[in-house]
Amino acid sequence: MNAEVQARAQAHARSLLAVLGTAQRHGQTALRRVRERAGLYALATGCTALALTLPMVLLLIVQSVGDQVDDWRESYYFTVYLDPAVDDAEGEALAAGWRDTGDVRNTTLITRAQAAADFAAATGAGDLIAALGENPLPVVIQVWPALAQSDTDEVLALVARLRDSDGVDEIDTDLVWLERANAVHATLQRASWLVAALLAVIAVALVGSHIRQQLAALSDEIALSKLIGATDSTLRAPFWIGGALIGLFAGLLAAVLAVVTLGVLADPVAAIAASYQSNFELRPTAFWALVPYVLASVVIGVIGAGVAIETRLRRIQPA
Amino acid sequence: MIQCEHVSVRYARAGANALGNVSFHMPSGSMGFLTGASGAGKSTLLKLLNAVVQPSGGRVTVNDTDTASLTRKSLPGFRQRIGSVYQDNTLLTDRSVHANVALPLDIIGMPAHESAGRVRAALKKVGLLDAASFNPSELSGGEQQRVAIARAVVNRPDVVIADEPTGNLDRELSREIMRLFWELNQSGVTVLIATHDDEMVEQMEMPVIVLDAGNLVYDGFAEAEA
Repeated sequence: MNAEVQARAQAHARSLLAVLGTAQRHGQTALRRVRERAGLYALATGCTALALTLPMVLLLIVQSVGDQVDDWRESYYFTVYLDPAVDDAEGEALAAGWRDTGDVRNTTLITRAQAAADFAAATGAGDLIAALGENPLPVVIQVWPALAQSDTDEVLALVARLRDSDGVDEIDTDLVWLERANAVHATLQRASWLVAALLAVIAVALVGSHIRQQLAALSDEIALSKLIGATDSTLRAPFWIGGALIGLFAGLLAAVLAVVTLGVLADPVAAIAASYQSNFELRPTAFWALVPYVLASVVIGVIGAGVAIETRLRRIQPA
Repeated sequence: MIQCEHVSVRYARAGANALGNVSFHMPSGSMGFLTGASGAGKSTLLKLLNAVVQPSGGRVTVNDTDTASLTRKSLPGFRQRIGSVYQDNTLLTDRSVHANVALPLDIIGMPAHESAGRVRAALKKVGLLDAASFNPSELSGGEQQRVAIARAVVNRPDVVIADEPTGNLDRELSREIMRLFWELNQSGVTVLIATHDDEMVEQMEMPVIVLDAGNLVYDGFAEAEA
């Protein structure tokens, strides 16, 4: 039994080594072709990188805007004014009850006395309340909706539910700026993905065009290889790898260019935001955050190579 | 073994048969010539043998494989067992003689350290071991053709087919190339050479298949068997 297991393990190991050996061979062929035509590969990589830089910059800006909107959303709360008849203890009970629900992240109770003190501090008219003899200000609860509620409709649904609670007099939502921020973010996001999709198609075409040129330049070698028994995978793999390499290096170059571009834009953007009393800034991007873009670029390279291989390789005779 | 049974080939554009009802049987380990004037169908017949062209009618069998049964997957393995030599030698000028000869071994995935010995042996056989690092363009026509022969045999094929391998060479070089094919045949490989060099064919005293306008007009193998 042991011998059988050992034999099977050895067979698997041999298969794995054979696959690795084949992959290594294809990789070496691809690298040899890159070396032989380094200038053309560099040109294709550079053009592809330029095509990918713009969408990468846009998507990183959108990410910054999104982070900023998230911050705003996180700090967003609405104010619930309770009936004048509701006292501090009842208000605290209401606030605590709301905190236990999933759509409320936090609540803060502002007692009547605290409201009067805040009013006095803000307006300097503390004497006015004292002159009335009785504090006319209601108990107030500040409500922070749960973070998952990114949609203002969800916030409005929460507000409608709380408004039906006993003891609630009025709710001040002040949602307009949040709606604007959400709308701006959604528009930017959509526009950026649209631009990214269009430029990704251009990048696919650039890589495809380069691989087509490679196929044309190597048509004699391919025809000869077919005649002496090259398999489809043997012929295709180096071109797949070539496309992936263009995508990888174009993605890395585009990532560097995008980071540099954001760095150059950071100060002017912050200055513009400050002039509108906003603390918005283009946030520095961590390397790991760029990895998905580089991987997407590799996929673009592979797709470009695939399109070229499928359309061109079959035309090279013999079959 | 090479066998053609009532084989015909009709190219749609040409309108006429490139080959018509050709039948012959070439036993394993034999050597022979395929002759005929230009346009007689020699190249078409050789293309049938490595399945570059499929017959319009009849059956072609090489190494016990009916070429009509080949699939996209099985075709490469079939071709790996056939060595091909062409008049224009089809060497790749962007790599060395060694790399050219190693190409069939690269294709089957033989590791470089294993293929190096086979390439050296093949180059030694054709007398070009010292030229391994040269570029093919640095060699004479005869030497290039010897490199092509080394490439055709490096994978130890069962059958070697050659299409006008001495077409561009002078008499002396042609004799040298033919000697190489003969030595190859002596090691058990089936060798079929298409040529229009009648003098060479007479000198070699091997069975001959003669084509004329796509028709088989003489079958030296059948004659030899009889």
